[in-house]
Amino acid sequence: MIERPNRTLRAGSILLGIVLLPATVITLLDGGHAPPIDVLHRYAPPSLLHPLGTDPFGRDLMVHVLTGAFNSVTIAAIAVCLATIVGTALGLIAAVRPARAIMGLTDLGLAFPPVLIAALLVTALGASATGEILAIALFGLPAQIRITRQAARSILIQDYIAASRLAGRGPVYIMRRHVLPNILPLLTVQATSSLALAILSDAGLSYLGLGAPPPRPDLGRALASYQIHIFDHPLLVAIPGVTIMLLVLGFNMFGDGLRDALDAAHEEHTP
Amino acid sequence: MSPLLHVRNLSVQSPERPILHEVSFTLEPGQILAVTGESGSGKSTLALSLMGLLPPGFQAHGSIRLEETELSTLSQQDWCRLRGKRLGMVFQEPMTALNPTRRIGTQIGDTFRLHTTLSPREIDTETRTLMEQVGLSEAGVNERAYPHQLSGGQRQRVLLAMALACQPELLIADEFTTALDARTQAVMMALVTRRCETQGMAVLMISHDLGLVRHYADHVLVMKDGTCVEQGPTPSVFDAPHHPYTQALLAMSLHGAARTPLTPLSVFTAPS
Amino acid sequence: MTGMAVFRILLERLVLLVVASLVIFAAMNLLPGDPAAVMLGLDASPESLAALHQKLGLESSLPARYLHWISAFIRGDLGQSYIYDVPVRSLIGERLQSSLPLILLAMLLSLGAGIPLGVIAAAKRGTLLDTGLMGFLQLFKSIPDFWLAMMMTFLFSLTLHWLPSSGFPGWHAGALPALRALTLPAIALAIPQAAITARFMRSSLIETLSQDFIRTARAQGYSRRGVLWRIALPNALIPVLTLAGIQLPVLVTGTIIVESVFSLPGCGKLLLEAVNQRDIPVVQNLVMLIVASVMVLNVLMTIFVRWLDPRLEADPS
Repeated sequence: MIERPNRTLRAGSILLGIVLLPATVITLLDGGHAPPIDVLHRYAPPSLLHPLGTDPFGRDLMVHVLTGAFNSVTIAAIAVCLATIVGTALGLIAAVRPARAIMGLTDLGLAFPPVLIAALLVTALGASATGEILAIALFGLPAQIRITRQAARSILIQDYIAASRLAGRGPVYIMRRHVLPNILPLLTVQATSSLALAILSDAGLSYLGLGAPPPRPDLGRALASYQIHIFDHPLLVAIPGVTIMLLVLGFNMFGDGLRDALDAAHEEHTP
Repeated sequence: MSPLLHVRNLSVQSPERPILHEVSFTLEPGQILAVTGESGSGKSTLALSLMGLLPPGFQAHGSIRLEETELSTLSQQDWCRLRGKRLGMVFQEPMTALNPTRRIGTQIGDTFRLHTTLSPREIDTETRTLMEQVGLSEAGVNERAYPHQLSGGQRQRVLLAMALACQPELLIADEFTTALDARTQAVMMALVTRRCETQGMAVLMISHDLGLVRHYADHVLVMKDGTCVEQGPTPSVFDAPHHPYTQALLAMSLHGAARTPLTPLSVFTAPS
Repeated sequence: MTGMAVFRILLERLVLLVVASLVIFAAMNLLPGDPAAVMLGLDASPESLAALHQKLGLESSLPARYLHWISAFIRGDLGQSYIYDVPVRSLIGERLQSSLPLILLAMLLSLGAGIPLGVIAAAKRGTLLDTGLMGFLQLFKSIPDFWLAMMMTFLFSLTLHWLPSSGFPGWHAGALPALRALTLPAIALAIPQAAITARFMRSSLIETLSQDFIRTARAQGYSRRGVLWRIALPNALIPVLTLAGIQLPVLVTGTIIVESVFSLPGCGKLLLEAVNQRDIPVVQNLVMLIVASVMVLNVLMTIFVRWLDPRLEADPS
């Protein structure tokens, strides 16, 4: 599919690799728990034992941030998967039927930012990872529906679809054999960009205390608890923030690069 | 009579390949010169280089003289004073050549605003007169209409009005009647020829429709692969073509299309 | 823009607003658990539960409660805060003093910076300036706004002492101190939005410049600069303004977060306090009010864009 990885794609992969590789290794080793609290070694400066120092609870900052990054990406990825699957299905339906209800849903979604959905859910049910995932997924749904519908429509007007229909193929077969494979690259690009947005949403929600509750470390929550130390220990605020930025930038660039690569591949096939 | 337009050894180079090669011709006031040839022969590039609107990266060599003005060395600023005032151009695509968010009266009035010191009220009057001349008022089209509310023929009239507003000495028409039906085509050409007769406007008409060329043009220039293969007065080119390419072109269009009955195959290969 | 088209948009949005109110009501009243128990916590006595039931009108049926709530909401009666025991309306009114100027200021800044930057990049496309600017904006698009806010307080308040790092003196203390308190929050809020706007402005303008009518205008005598500003820009702005309307909810989210960073006593802070204290009347009415305001602003933007773009009238999709 991608013969010529371009510079943007490569840069995005490198940024993601810098954070995600160590994050995965550390999470696998520690089981995703927060590093142990050690009151004797609070605010330790960077050392061999603690490469980035320790936080106000004496926890290793690097381990805490990397585990948090893994958790953030996991939550964002589940939410994006959910939005992609449901959104693609609804978008495909809306492409072939005059589905006022579905399009109304997308308009409704535009007025409900994740923070409001999360506020409602947390008030009624208390903070939970499920609620946060739901809030992020619901917010991403409208864009997914719109993009799928538009892309599917551009395929459905092609002549070979009419031919396939004349040959007696049903809508489900046409969707599976002709439409889905054709819009899959676009959906992949969209999912990558959504991931960047979902990570930002996750960070914001957990900063506000509307995200997944402790004990699992989280970048937004870490920032909230380190914020008061910004003057004495700026590294505590800088490191989690830069980590979020690297992830978001990485996914954004990866998505842009992927789109460019797919466009280039497309142009090569259609002279 | 001294020529209005004098083009000598005009060559144009795109970033990839040469497009025009040493084209020379002259055009006198009140005359219509038709440039014809198959698509890709460099006709449109010729028109754009006469307007100084070649796409970025294109390089032109040679001389283009409009009366006493040498155009090939003109500054951007001087070009802007020339375009729309002494040189008018109409394009082929009536659907996309007009700005969809501006009223047609405003778009026609723009030509006056750019090149004259008329007051807004005078511009309105001039615009309305012009719309009458090109037959828009007659069709019930208001100057407050937007392009999407007009038919293709009406949009083409708006484009013509924009080009004719400042009474240019030279009108460049790039396939501008191709998309129109035969009747509208005749009406538009009548508008243009009247300007030639009354105001001495010269026309460079690009067309692959040889019937149209034969009927309206005083001179013909036949192009192939960026070079001019034959040029001369219309009757002599049509009646006694010298170049084999011109002969083939004439044979195909005049005899082939008119005399061969439509076969099922030709239905599918009809000009799109 | 005909009256009929405006009427249809308004009707559509009204239906959506009703659906939104149903969703909010359902979330607060249908999810597992008794709202009174949620508000009072686990160890509430049966007597106090019953009293609260009475007070919230939980005895009546669901449809009756919905109708009662929504009709009061339309009349401007936003209920009584359970925690503060004051009308929610006066709570919100007080908090809007900082929230509304903040969001307006941020929007103004993001469009005011994003549009010119996008135009410059498009006019100089392919140059080093364009590439550099776009890379820079990509970076700012990826920064979480609340973290940017923290870093800005570190630099401008704690290190340089230019602007206050938190709190809001209120408008009664004079416009200047109030604006000074809102400056950093508004900038933090506007930067990521401006980056999104600028990138979109650039691609929209480049797309417009490739259209046929640009060549027509050039043939008419417009200069390169004139065609960019007078012909291409108005057309290219249309999708950018549409995007600004779509980005409104994102700006609302940002406002809630940034208020929290700067301890601004705004609506976002009120919402978070109410969520933490399970103050259902405040959450329900405030969320409804925010959703309704976003929708109203969105309708205004839609009508404005349709007025700018006459083609949309013919093709409502």
